[in-house]
Amino acid sequence: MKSSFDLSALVKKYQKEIWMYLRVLGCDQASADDLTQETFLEVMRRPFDDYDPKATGAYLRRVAKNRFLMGIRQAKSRPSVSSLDAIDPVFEKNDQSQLTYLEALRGCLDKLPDRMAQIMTARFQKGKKSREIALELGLKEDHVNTITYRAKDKLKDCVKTTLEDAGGEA
Amino acid sequence: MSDETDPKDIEDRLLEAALEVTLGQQAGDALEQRILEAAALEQARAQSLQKKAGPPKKSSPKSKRRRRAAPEGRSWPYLLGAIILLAVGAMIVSQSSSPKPDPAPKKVTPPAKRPEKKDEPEKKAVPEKKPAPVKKTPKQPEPKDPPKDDPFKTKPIKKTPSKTDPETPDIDPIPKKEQGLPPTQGPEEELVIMASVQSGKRLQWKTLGQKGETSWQTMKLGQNIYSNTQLRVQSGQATVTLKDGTAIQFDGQLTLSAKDKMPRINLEKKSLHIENGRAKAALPVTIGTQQALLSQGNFFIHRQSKQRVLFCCLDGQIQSGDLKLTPGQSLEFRSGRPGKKKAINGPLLAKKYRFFRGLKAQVLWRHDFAKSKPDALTEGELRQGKALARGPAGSIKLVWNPDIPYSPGMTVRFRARLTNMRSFYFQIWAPELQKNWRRDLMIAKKQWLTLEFPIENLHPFKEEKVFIQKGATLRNIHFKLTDKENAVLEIEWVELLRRPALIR
Repeated sequence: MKSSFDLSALVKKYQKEIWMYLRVLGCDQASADDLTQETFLEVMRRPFDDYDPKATGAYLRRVAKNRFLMGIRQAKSRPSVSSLDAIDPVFEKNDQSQLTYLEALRGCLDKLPDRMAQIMTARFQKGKKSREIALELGLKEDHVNTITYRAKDKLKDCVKTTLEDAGGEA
Repeated sequence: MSDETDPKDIEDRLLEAALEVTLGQQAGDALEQRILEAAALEQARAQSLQKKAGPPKKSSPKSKRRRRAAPEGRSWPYLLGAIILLAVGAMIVSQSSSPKPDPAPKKVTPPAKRPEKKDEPEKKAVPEKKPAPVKKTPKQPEPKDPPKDDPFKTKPIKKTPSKTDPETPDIDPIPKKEQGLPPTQGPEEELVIMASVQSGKRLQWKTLGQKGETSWQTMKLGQNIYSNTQLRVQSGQATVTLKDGTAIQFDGQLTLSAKDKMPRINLEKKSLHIENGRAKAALPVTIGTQQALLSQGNFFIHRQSKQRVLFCCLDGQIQSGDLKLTPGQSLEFRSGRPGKKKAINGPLLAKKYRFFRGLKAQVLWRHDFAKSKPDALTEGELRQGKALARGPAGSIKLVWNPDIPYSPGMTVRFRARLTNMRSFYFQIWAPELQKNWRRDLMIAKKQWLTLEFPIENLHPFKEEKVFIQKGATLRNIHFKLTDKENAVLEIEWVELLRRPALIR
């Protein structure tokens, strides 16, 4: 192994991005965990120099995608996303920015109105469904869905602007 | 994840994944640690292989090419395999050539037609002499009676029908090994009555033992099951109860065995639910290479493939190596590697695994008023095996001892009839919370009805958004009539159940 290859640093830096990439490809949470692990093990077997973060990110995504496609082939199933090739450009665009997608999102979550933030936290942090959130907050289920939809729209726009301002296109 | 997102929208997917990471703490430190552990394990394995192979030798480019084709340290299994294949091939050739002398004895001894099949191994020993097989043939027309005095004679007799008899085409490798063992005196297997069948219309069994395995036979309700018995369900589910009261419900195939008279289970196919709350000893379960000890509780195990095994601890404790699962946790093993511990979502599991939906409820407490003592009720009256409450504001109150801890998935079920009124309410007292948790009910008049509802849906009076939490205990139940003078409420029995499919 080359001395410049540090797996733990690589995992720390890229695991979240790879996990997100796999989720966008169509993996469920457990499979995304497994494939992220396999991706880094594959990379460990063929070490490389991390001279450019963008190139490293792209390489790791390629490895992850190959692993994902191998899994799909073995399971004789089809990917849930119709065009897998359309996913890479989105991540490549985000790579142009000085900020990562997650950093931008964290900033945007802080800007959300209280009710929206409360619903997003209940949904994504506590894993609650619309019905449960509605019961908890004394709202109708449809209302909760509408707020969620609007919150997502707001977050998407905010992340896009933040990334653009930070020097890249979202 | 969320059902309102268009799956084709990549940006939506990306945002959802990012929210799962940011808010849901996915792909966090646990995953990082898991990856680094797996990497360390793989490196250690690679190092140990290198050590076994010895120091690298200087070699010519030719030898390098050879090494790529067959990696060092792994060539001996290939060689061994090739030798075994050659030996098997040679045996097959010799056997396929052996039928040739068959016609000769047939012609000489025309009446001995049936035993021809059993002649083959004897002919190998004495192929030339014609009278010899003729003499031996009358001695072997009893295929079901293996000779007990000479263990070595059992081998050829048992093997021949497997090759020639079309009725028994496949024999598993495990019994073949056991066939080679000399028979012991008396019973060959540990004849322990393991269990009896409680339900399952299409349950089949066969024994695995030193005498070899029997063919699949249909099992009857109430039939005893001995150790070393393989069970399979052809359709639906079956329930088997072990001697210590452990209930095993399954829809695939498993083997029940015993070691020191203690039961063991080997799950071979599909799913298994075990309830051993009353059993003193933990129950060892093997699923492929995975082993687990199930202690006093409720467990769901699903074998998705040879590599993937899911353990769900609904109650009690599961221990597999250093890993421990507590109530409400699930864990999936893939190729022997444990995944992340996850919280069980009963409705989601019930949606995913049909087996889960068919799981029987566990009765935690039951009171039948037909069998109750005269002073059993704190409020209300007992008449003709039923508890009665008469309006206005009449009630039936029953206190149990000790308190029953509330756990998710708990439901209350009772059989009731209401006369001259349509509504009443049910409430349950939680002493720690100092509150009654109630539900208003409206039922048809003058009809015996069985009602059931989850306890998690109960709420205090006028606090409809407050629900009972895990950790609370339950002390008594109360059926209460609202104002109406001639209203009568009758209850036949009441029980507290736990339905795994409702656990959240």
